[in-house]
This record gives sequence, structure tokens and C-alpha cells, in this order.
Amino acid sequence: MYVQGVGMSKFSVDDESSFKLADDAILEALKDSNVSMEDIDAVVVATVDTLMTDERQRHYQSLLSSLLKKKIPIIRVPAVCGGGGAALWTANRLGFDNVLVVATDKIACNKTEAITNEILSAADRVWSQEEGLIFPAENALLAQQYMMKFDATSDDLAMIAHKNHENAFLNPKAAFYGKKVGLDKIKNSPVVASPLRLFDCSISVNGAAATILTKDKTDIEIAGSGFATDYLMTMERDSLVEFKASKLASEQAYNQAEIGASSVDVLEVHDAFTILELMSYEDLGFCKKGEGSKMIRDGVTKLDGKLPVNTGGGLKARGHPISPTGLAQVYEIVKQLRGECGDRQISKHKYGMTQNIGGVGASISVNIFKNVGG
Amino acid sequence: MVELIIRWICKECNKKWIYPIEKCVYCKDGGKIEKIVGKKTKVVGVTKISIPSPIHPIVPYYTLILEDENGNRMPKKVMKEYKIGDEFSWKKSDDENAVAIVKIKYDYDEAVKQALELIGGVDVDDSTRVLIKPDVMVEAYPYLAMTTNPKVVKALIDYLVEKGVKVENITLAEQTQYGDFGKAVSKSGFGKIVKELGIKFVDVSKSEFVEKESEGINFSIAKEVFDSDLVINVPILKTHLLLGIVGALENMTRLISAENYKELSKDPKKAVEGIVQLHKVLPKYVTLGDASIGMQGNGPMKYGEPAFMNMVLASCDPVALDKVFQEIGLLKDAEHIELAGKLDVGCSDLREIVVVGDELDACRRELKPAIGSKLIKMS
Repeated sequence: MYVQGVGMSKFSVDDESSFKLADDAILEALKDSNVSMEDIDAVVVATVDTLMTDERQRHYQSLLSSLLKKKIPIIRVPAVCGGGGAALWTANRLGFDNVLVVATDKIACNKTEAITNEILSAADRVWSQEEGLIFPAENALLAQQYMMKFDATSDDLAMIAHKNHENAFLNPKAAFYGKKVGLDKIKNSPVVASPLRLFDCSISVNGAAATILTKDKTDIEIAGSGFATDYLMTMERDSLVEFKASKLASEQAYNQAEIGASSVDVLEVHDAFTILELMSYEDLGFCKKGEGSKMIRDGVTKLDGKLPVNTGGGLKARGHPISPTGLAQVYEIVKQLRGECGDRQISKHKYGMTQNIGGVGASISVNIFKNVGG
Repeated sequence: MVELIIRWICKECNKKWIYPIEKCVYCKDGGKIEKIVGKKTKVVGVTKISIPSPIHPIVPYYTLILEDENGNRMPKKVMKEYKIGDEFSWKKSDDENAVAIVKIKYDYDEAVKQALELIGGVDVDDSTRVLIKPDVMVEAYPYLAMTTNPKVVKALIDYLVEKGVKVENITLAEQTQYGDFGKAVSKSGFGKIVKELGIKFVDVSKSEFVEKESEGINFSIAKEVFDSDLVINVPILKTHLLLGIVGALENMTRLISAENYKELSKDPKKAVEGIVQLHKVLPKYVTLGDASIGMQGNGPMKYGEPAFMNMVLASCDPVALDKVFQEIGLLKDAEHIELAGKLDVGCSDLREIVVVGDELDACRRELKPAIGSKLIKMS
């Protein structure tokens, strides 16, 4: 399949309804494409079952039917934080001529405690939820295991956060657009779950993103698309310093695209916590296991580096509205490959990759996009 | 020491699970599932958490990665700081007011066994006559949290049988206050258990009663209580509009005759005194507190709501157990618990209570108190 158009709302904590945000994203995607709403054969939607804001809606398929005034198949693919990527992976395989993929969530309009608790429902109830493993804590334990085994420090993680804030500063759709966040502020932010600090964690926002896929050739092809899962409780897995699902999904995507990691020009990874970006460099094959910190220290993943990563600010600073994240990554890669990213535009742009994670490495999609010309 | 890390393994294909399964989907005959228990547990990871959340309101706390000699791991929330490499174990206590708290890790059998072993276990043999007193006060499905979860009682019976007690020497007893006894037993899920295991379930309202007196209050107590060698009280832990909370102490009041109960319940002050004085004439008993679901809000009946606490408590001291439940829920002091402590029925002073198993502070969460509502018409 090819990408016809991409759209996304501004990611922010503004009090907007999820269907208004979806409307914004879909309209932009349609404007960006050569198709109209009449041409859409099917919709794949990702949202989470959140009951923590003023919205209480689980039949999102029907809500979209009402919003879009369509009676076509509308399929919901919930995969928590990995929803957007999983929806794209699904839409790519359905066989429709023109598929709208949309993800929308309103999660930010409540107390931090309530949001933390809601997100925790993506973890194992009895083992993780009951034992206090809120997501920052579970990722903190991974960071600790990683740091004990390999050459990595909290300063390396701070550099990842800083890089992504620098990129978000240039992205008008990002929650931290135009807001400078210095390295000292990151390093001195409070520890929320040792060794992770507040600025090692992504910011929860409201938002929506949309992608229109088509069978007709466009400038951007989905060259490879992989998806894999893993056990819900991280401690049941063989390793705590890598995500097997990331490796499996990327292998599928590389094989389909018939390329290796060295061909990728720009990368969007799921940096819900800075440690995840570090681990993803390795799991996706951009360096050997344990050498991820060298990539950030050497500036490889900066905007002007050999492999720019999270050029839109990542989850860290663009913001993480749960399901829309995977499609916001697609938005960024498509814009980069087309050369439409303005001040944050990278120089090389043929292949771009997205990696979207649901839970703590529990379901991971990896998509490779290729600029095939107009 | 009490073992903590458990896995279920298919002996035919060696696949492992973190929860009990009966059949392996990889083996056509369902495989042969065995439980494996780690004997030595050490800390391999620690994080200190500073963000509160509804079920973890007290910060900072720590979550550890524990690992056993088989390489199996589990997370454990604690308030005490540990270092990587430290050994981790739950020690038993034979203190008379020790209270065990155990979070249920999918396996009721293991949680009940752990809770009882942590307080020293039960002294039984094949001649021991055991009376179990669950809460089946009303005709209600167990998921509504008005009655004791039958899974907890089933696990208790299995534990007793494993310890050598004969099934024919186990009796359940209760007096239903709202509805028909037979229907209540059936609806609460106990009917299935007693039928399957062939256990007697005595309707206390039809019992013979033994007369007792304490501080001028007369009690007609079911004869079965005194005919047993061991009484195990299995209350569901609930919030209560009149008493604040109910658990071990209140559950035993349905072992007195209905007339006696009615007389004592005439006014709240008398009820509080009656609950406490009853314990002056009852034999010592063990309590297995059921907070597998538990109730919060305007309990103890239909205006309350399930609390999904996922834990069991055990103690030889009913006052201490009720106090610990109250503290887990961050609920206000209940008058009957304080009076029971004052009259030496048990220990209501938290500083004196020895908590074993999961740490009290690590289990605290704010339960909704019973504060009433205009929807509720009190009879």
C-alpha cells in the first residue's frame, strides 16, 4: 500500500474532545491526499478504553460513522500506546482500495494520579498493578538492569531527552513547540522512579493523527510492515534489557522492504521513557547490544547526525496521547521523506522507519516507508 | 520461611506460566501441569517510586525485582529499602496478635496457605473437628461482595485436608439474615462446594444453643461452636454503615440465636458492646479474612460496592485482624474494634500488632467509607 495523505492535530493538554481532534487530523489528511471522503472504503481506528475524562465511549466505530457520515466497515484496533501502529499494520493488510487509519485519545484532562492509574491498566493486574509497577517504575527497572549490564548512565538518558526537546522546539504540532528545555533542567528534574527522572518520561497529551492508505501509487510506499507481541509481565520474559517483539517486528519489516538497518535515513522510535529509545537503537539493529549509548554520545541520532531519531520531538516532547502516537510517527516520517519539515528537515530522505510500542514492549509494530517519487 | 515465587510448568513441553492453568494448549492431551516453587529468593532490581496513584497512595515506596534459584522473577512492592543482592523472604510469626497479609497471585490455594503458615499454621490431625464460619448473611452472588468468596473457603478446606483433617470432620455454619438459608447457600456459591466435597453446612437458626453470659449480657450460642476442636472464622471484609467496618468480630455474631441477635441490635451502642462481650465467652478461633474482593462504600449490603482488593488476611487475634483491615483501607477507627482492644479481647493498638507477609503500608489504599446516602432507606 501507499500513503495518500497524513494529518495530525496539535498535541497538547488543551481540553478538546477526541472526536474534534479526530476531525482535525482527518481533514488535514484528506487535504494532503488526492482522495475525498467519498473514496474511503474502510476505516481502521485506534483508541483506548479510557473512563478517566469527561468522555465515556467505547463504541468508537459508530461514533466515527456519525462523525464521517459513512456506513462502511469501521474496525477498531486497540493496542494501548501501540494502537496507531497496530492500526496501520492492520489497514495495510485488509485489501481495501482507500483506507483511513485514525487514532484519537483524550487522556490528559484529569489529575496526574488518575492518568497514571489509567495507563497502569495496560499492565498485568495481579503482578504489575498490585506491586506498584506504574509505567515509570517498570521502565525504571529496565533502565537499572540495562545500566548494570552495559555502559550507560543517567546522563546518556538526559541527552536523549534533550535531543528530543530540541527537535520538538522546531515542530509546531509538538506540545513543547517553541519551549526551550535545557540539559541542566532535565538532569535536575525530580526522580520519579529511580533512576528515571521526570524529564525521562514522555508528557501525556490529547491528540489525534490520521493516515490515508491507498493501492494507487503515490510518492510514499509502505515498503515493510512488521508486528509482534510478547508476554504482558516483563519479568516473565527471558531478558529485561531488550524487547524481543521489537527485534521480530523489525526483522519482518526489513525482509519485506529488502533492506537492512543501514539503509534507513530517519527513524521514529517509541521513547515513552528515554531508556526505550536507547534500547530501540539496538533492538532495531542500528548498533550492537549494549552500544546504544555510544550513538547518543556521538551525536549520531541528532537532527544533523547520520541517523536522525525522533525529529518531531518523540513521545518525550511532541507528547504522547496513547493511541495516536504511532500515526504521529508516520506523519513525521512521511513529511521528512517528502522534505516538508521546515526547520527540522533532514538532508537524506529515502527510507524512514517507525517503531510503536504497546505496553512495556508487549506489542510492537515496525513500519518502513520508502520515498518512491511522485 | 514462606515461598514466594511460583510457576506452573508443563512437564511434557516445559512451557511455564505465571498463573495456574489446568491444561497446556501445546500438548494434545493437555500436558501434565506441575507447580514449581522457588526456595531461595534474592533482590536483583530496585526502584524507588515517588509518584502516588490511587492504589499506591503512600510514597515513596519501592518495587523490587525478586529472582529465585530457577531464574524465575516477580515484582514485589515494599516500603523498606533493599539493596541488589539482598536475600528476600517472608518470616513466620508465632506472636498471638500477628496478622498476615497476602496478596493473591491468581492462586487462592497458595495465598490461603501462605497466610495461615505465616501465623504459624493450624494445629490439626485426622481427629480434629473443624467449624468454618463464612459470611452468607444474604442471598447474593459472590461477586457482589456481600458474602465470603467461596474460592477462599474452598482453598481453606483444601489446606485443612492437606494438613490431615478428614472432610467429614469439617462443618460450615451460618445464619442467613436476609432471605432463605438454602437459597443463600446456593446463590453465594457455597452450595456447589458442600455438594462436591460432601461437607455439612449447618443452618445456625436451627441449632441447639448454649447459654453464656458476660458483663450482664446473655448469649445463646450455637452448640456446634463448642463441639468443635477448631473454629475458623472466614468473614468477608467490608465497610458498614453503622459500625464503620465489619470483619472478624462482627461475623461471629451470627453464631448466636436470631432472637438474641435482634435484642442486641436494638441500638448501636448495645450492638457494639454485644459484639465485644460475645468474644469474652467464645472459644479462641483463627480468622481468615477474605479481602479477595472486599467491600467499600455504603456496605455491608447492596449499597456497598466491590473493592477488588485481591488479598487475604489471617490472624489468631480477630481484633488485630479487623484493625489491620481498617488500616489497609485508611478508614476511620471503628468503635467496636477500639472497645474490643480496651477490654482485652485482642489487640487494637497498631504499634503492638505484628504484621507478616506483605507490608501494611505497602497495601494501604483509600477505600470509600460508608457515609450513607439519601438513596438508602435504613430499616
